[in-house]
Amino acid sequence: MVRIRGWGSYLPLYRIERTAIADQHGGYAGGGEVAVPAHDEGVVGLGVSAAENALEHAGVDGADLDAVYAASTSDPFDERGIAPHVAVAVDAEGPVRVTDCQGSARAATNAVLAARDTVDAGRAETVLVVGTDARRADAGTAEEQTAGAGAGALVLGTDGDAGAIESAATNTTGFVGRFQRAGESPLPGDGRFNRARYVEAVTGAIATLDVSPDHAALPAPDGGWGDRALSAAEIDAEVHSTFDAVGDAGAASVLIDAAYALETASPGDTLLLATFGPGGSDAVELSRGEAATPEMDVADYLDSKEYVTYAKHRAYREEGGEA
Amino acid sequence: MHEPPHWRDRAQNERLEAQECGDCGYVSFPERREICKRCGARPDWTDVQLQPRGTVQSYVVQNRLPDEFETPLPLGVIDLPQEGDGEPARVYGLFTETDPDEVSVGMTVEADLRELFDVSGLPVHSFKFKRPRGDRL
Repeated sequence: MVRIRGWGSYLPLYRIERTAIADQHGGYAGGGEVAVPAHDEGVVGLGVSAAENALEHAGVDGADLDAVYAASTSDPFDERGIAPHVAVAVDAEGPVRVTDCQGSARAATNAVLAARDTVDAGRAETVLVVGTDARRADAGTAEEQTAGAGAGALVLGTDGDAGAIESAATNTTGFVGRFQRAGESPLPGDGRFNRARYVEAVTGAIATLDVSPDHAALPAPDGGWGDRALSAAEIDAEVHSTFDAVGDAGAASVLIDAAYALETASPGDTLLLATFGPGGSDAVELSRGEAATPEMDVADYLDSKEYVTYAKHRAYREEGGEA
Repeated sequence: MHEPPHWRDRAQNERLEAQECGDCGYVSFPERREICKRCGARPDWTDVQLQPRGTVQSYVVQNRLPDEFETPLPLGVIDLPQEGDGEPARVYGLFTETDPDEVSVGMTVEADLRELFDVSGLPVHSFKFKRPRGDRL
């Protein structure tokens, strides 16, 4: 079984309330707020911050990593990559495999499962998985109210007392729903139709696992979708979501919410993660080990925040999104 | 030809790696020197790792900068301790996410990897300093 040696998260300092965005453009204001990257904060920097927290929690030196996997839906470059730059910044150079998983919020579990299989196959002893995103959305779009930012990371290995990956299942459907052309604002499609396909895809993935988890993290492009999927799958678990405080952070969300769940769980508890994005859904069952929580946990990052004006949030989002 | 100088500086810019003079113990950062700036020797240099938390020794607040900078922008002289024994490195660094009114001599700051500038659209990352997130709780 592949173990979790440590985990970490990082959320930007800045936030804007969804009502402040709605005030600019009129229309419906969702509750809560979204995290806004600083003007100098992009997917590489966010990912490095979460990776450093996870490595510190795991007690692992970056130089001892065998592989680094990075997942994102908002890489501003078609050619550059994220994983090798996160790797080098944490001192994982030379014979270190790097893989970028992109194109869907589900890329985070693509990365986790690829990392798990690499360890399981004996090709690596210690691997880092990072999900990092600074979602883009044009001014005045409904998605502007949900476009979040942040990063989460896991250190997996052949040993470790933070937890374990117990089982996983995948459900590739090919359904797209929300999509985003390179460099443009996302097109959400029909919300109700997409939500129904979400519930089908996620319950389809969960159905092949025989689980009754204590905790669940099912991030989605909009609030409340995860609860519907759990209800449809007849699973009664404590749900951990940062959607109302961070927004939809794409491929980062599942690793941030997983960290949030692990930080609340007791040793021996089980956790269900499920991702969804263009292409389908993955479900991963984790168990919580004995390790203490990281020095800076998700709750600390949620509590340490500063609100910015709408104008600043636009400028920050556009400048940070280029990094 | 935009990359060579930044490529060669990546260990300093992205990992806070410094060099310690084998003769007098001076820690050079970010310059990788042949001759020690303090004792003038041509010593054996040892790579040392700096810690990401340090102490502000001095600072100025810049108010007039090109448009790409967010002003007012504090610029600090920070002492960053090494991992292990030895002298700290004295480092110049820009601040980020920190109100100039919050900056004071003696305050603890945290280094974060941020975009410093871009060259032809390619971001060059390096450390900036900020009030530690844990202090905002």
